[in-house]
Amino acid sequence: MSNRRYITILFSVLFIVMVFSSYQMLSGITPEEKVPVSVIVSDSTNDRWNAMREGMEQAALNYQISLNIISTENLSSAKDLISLMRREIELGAKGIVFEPVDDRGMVEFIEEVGRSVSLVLIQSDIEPGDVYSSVLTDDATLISQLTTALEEKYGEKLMEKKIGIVQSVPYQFALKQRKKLLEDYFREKEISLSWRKNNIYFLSDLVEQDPVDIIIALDNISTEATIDSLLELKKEKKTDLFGIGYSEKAVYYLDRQVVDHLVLNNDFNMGYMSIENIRKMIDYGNQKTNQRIDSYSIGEENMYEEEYQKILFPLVQ
Amino acid sequence: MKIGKRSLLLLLLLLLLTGCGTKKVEEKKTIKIGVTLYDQYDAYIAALTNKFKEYATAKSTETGKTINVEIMNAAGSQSTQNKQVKSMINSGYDVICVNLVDRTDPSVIIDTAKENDIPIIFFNRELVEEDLERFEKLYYVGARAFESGIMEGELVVEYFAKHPEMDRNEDGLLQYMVLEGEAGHQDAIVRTEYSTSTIEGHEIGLEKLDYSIANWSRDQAKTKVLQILSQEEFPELIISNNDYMALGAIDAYETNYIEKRLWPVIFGIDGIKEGLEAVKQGKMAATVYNDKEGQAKAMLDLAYLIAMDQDLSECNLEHGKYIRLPYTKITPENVEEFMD
Amino acid sequence: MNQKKTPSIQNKKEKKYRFRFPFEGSGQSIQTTITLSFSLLTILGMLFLTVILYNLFNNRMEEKETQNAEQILDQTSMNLENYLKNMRLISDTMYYSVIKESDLGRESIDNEMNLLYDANKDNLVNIACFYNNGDLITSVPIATEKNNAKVKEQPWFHNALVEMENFHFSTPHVQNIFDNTTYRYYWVISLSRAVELTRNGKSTLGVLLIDMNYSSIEQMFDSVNEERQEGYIYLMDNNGEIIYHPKQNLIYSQLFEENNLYHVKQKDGSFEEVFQEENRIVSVKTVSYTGWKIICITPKTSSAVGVYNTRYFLVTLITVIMLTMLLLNQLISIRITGPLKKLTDSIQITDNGTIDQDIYIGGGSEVEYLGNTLKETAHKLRELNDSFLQEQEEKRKSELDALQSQINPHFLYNTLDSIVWMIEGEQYKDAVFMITQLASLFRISLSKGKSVISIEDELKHAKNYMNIQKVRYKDKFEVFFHIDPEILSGSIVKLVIQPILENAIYYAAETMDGDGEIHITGRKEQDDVFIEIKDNGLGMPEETVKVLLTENNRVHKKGSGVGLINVHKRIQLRFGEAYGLIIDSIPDEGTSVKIHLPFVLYQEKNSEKEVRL
Repeated sequence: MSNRRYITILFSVLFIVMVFSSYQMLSGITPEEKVPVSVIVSDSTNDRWNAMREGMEQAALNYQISLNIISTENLSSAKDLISLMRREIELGAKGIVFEPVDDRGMVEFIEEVGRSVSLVLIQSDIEPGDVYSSVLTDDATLISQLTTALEEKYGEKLMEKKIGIVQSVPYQFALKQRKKLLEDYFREKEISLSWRKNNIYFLSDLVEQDPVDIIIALDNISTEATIDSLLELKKEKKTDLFGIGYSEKAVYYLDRQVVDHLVLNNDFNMGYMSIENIRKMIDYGNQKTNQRIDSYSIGEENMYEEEYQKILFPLVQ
Repeated sequence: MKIGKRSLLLLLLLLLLTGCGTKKVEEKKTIKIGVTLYDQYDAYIAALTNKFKEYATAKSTETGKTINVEIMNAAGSQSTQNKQVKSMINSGYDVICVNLVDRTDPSVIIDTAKENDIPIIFFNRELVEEDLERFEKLYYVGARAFESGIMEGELVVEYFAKHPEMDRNEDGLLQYMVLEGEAGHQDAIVRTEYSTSTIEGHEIGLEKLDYSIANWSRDQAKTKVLQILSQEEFPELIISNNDYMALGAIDAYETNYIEKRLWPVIFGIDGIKEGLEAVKQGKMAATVYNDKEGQAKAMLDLAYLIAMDQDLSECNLEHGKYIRLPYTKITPENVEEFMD
Repeated sequence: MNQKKTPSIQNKKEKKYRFRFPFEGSGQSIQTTITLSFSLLTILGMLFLTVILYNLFNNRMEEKETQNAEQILDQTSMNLENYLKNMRLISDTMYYSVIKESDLGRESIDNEMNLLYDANKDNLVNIACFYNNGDLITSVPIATEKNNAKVKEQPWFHNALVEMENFHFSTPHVQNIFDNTTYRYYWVISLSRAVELTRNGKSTLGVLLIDMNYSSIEQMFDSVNEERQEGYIYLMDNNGEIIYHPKQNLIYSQLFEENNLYHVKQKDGSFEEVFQEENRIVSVKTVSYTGWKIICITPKTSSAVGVYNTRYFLVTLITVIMLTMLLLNQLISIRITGPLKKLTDSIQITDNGTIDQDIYIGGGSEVEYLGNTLKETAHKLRELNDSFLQEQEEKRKSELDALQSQINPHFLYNTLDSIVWMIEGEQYKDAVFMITQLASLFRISLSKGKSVISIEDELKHAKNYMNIQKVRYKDKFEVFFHIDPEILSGSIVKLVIQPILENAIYYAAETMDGDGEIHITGRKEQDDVFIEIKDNGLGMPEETVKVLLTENNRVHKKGSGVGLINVHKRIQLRFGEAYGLIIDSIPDEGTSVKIHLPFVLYQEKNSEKEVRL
């Protein structure tokens, strides 16, 4: 009796081993199922996202993610963003990487959705609170790099300059933060700002009517818009532009000396790390991480230095 | 026996589920369109692509479907483009729009598409009919290349009729220079051929000063024109295969600070933004509008219908495969209409 | 503490014990033994084989991988060298056939340069020629410099003038001298050399620059890397500066590290290393002239098509084999032990302790023989058993007879009657003798229930009996004992002489008036004892003698109750068929009955009470 039982046990053990190993063998051949992750950023096909996309695609390859970068126009309100996110979740996205364009009314939604879907914020936080994983720009460093560049270029003469500040959208947390930090800096230096602009509409008119010596653009969109305005008004030599941005256009005009100084975020890392994080969150549950990416302060004089040109001009892939 | 029954039940359930699954796929909510460009820095292609993206987002909001457009740059390498198409097919794109690098070598792309039953829309760079016939899900969106050449020629003729002083040396012949696109590119060959033959057809004497290949590039065109100028040759007419090279010619004259009255009459094709501006400013005599909006729209509509598996009849396909949009002549008189 | 928990543990232990039982050797079926030992052997063998095979395979794989890697390196370096050679050739052509031939002050070299550029358009970004003060002479395809171009600061320019006799290959950099209106920037590798220029008859120094398109090299390496599923190749210059790496972007962003600074110091060939906890094979190949190094990395853990997969493949294969072997083992052991099992199953012990005769015969010849033998044995056993039962029955009957004989009521009645008479006749002395004799007779015949007694006692019993009978028969006969004292210590079944005497008295005393004689002779012949009771009575015919000791002679003419046959049987039952009674009789002369016994020394224990049914 027991003899039969032992044989059966031995048999089943061997059989299980066989099934397991053949499964492993076959699964080694057939690639792992990819996890769908959606990416929502404003104006996603704009080339300012190229480096980020590159990073995301690289990470997606490494971490078995099927990346879905949603084609969007300018997203300016939380409402549009939320409806897009809802749609993506409905369509089965396991994770969403998104840029909070507007920090109003996002927290509730994120807390509601975040339980079922992994969320990673990029570019900007929604509030100075840790709600979910994020890969953000290091705004304090950005601003200090900008101000250092200003000081290096003008020294004491900075006091005499007329300065304008422009940003593309009013309610993005990162932009508010940058603006506040910059204003704090100028207040401390006792320099008054000629104007602050919260959008890019009719920028040229403003530049023409209220000319300034220095324009500080706080994000890529405003940097590009300022470039266009300066070229249109043929003021590129007269007005110095200090910008934050990463697009080909911004870099090109840095080379062309329309932009005098560019501070850029390592968007490649932002893309890569956001996907890396979302994979971790999907795999191990909500592991909150809040990372900030490096930034580089680049002027026309150092843009071709080996270290920087690798960042500025992504290799053709 | 029990196990057998159970597995049978499971199988049935699975079948049912997959059945449901396929039904769901029919009501597709996400459309993925891949686009691969021969060179993303080609101004016309860039403009066309931007329009395409614009229409895609508009269509997305209009229909409530997610339309994802992925743009890739083949950077002038057909093998890169082949790889891109393969990788897009593997990542489950519904339709792929291909702007061929080498229009004579689409076989790898066609074969891959055929194997995976993925429709392909070729655009801007036309492949031969025989290749397009190789698989029923291949389409072409573009313009009639020869038409642009004829129109450019006609524009020259019309201009000459109004401005006989363009024959500055009054020898009865127009000394001209051709800025040709890429060697071997069909559009380049056809445009050059049809424009000059149209001019000659109207009994205007032509004398070819130079014939330069500038690879559709503004900078290269500029260099070529500067070289001509440095050889002390002054053309009366520059016929360019596209606006971008025409702009290069203008750049050359501008950098040399040559007086406007000594400039040749410059003609372009495509009607890109900078070209239109040059026409408006009188730097360029005229151009032929290559309907990028129309092409982008036609491409997107076609792609959408294909992806949604809907009837294609509203696209007015020629021979079930071609969409060709007409060109329009642009002169300083009507240029405003085409500017945003 | 522990003991409180033990019930369950003990249970488990019991189970475990039972679980292990078949492996422990005793008390298991042959089938189990065969199957288990075969299976164990198979498994051990297979495991051994797997390990060896796997190692062999692994080593072979690794060797192959290394070979493969080196082959790829050779191929790639050849391609790269050809490419670089081609570039140098362009540079040479440009220099020797164009620049040296022309006076730059008088003629343009644009057309020749254009020609060279057009012919190599796919691999080139620029060809340019500079004076040694950094001024541009000419270039293709774009001939305008950027406003802020700083040619003299470019490393390729500097290097060319410092080391004039050589070509100089730069690391990849962004081409940043020429004007462009698009946002495109080319990554190039600059090939520069110093050239001798002639300008208006005067010779000066200049620099010829050929910018190779970096993407050509990238594509060259990419296509190799795409074909490799595991591992990759990368390229670096002689300082360890990475020129191409599949994860270049990640390296620049510090998301990935490469061991390039160590690799650059290595000579051509292959070695193993552990980098970031990964075992890998590194192959190095130096590209001629430039000193660039191509490195091929193959992870050891999952080399190529996957030792990983192979491992599972092996496991699958081995388990399949083991399963088949196990099945075969089962089949073989069933084939061997099946008949044995059938045989075993067919042997049924019946209620009466004998084997059922319905025994399985079949299987292998050995098993068949075993079956036959067993069947025969069973048959014999059954026969033996039957006869044994019969004997038992007989024994019981005869013993019952013996018992009956002891209390022959006639004898008792007659004796007591005689004693009464004696007492009435006031022959007290005789009466006392009679009673004494009677008492002795009974004591011996009871003998504590023993069935075997000493011959001495038996003879005493016989004497008592004869004394009583002599009184009863008023001395109608004489009794003579001739006993060899040697036999007195021998054993005898009790009460065998008395019935014979009774017969003798019957025949001798009753018929012979007064001169009947009965002789009782006891002697020993070798190991046998003979006790003969001889009378001088009528005797019997031979026919009567013959049937005297057979079964059908149970009925007696006179109801003395106990026949000779009874005595004969009792002796035989006790001592075997060889013994018993021997009767000789001659009519009119008398009868002799010989009791034949073996000489067995009488001891108390010999006569232990027999187990009676």
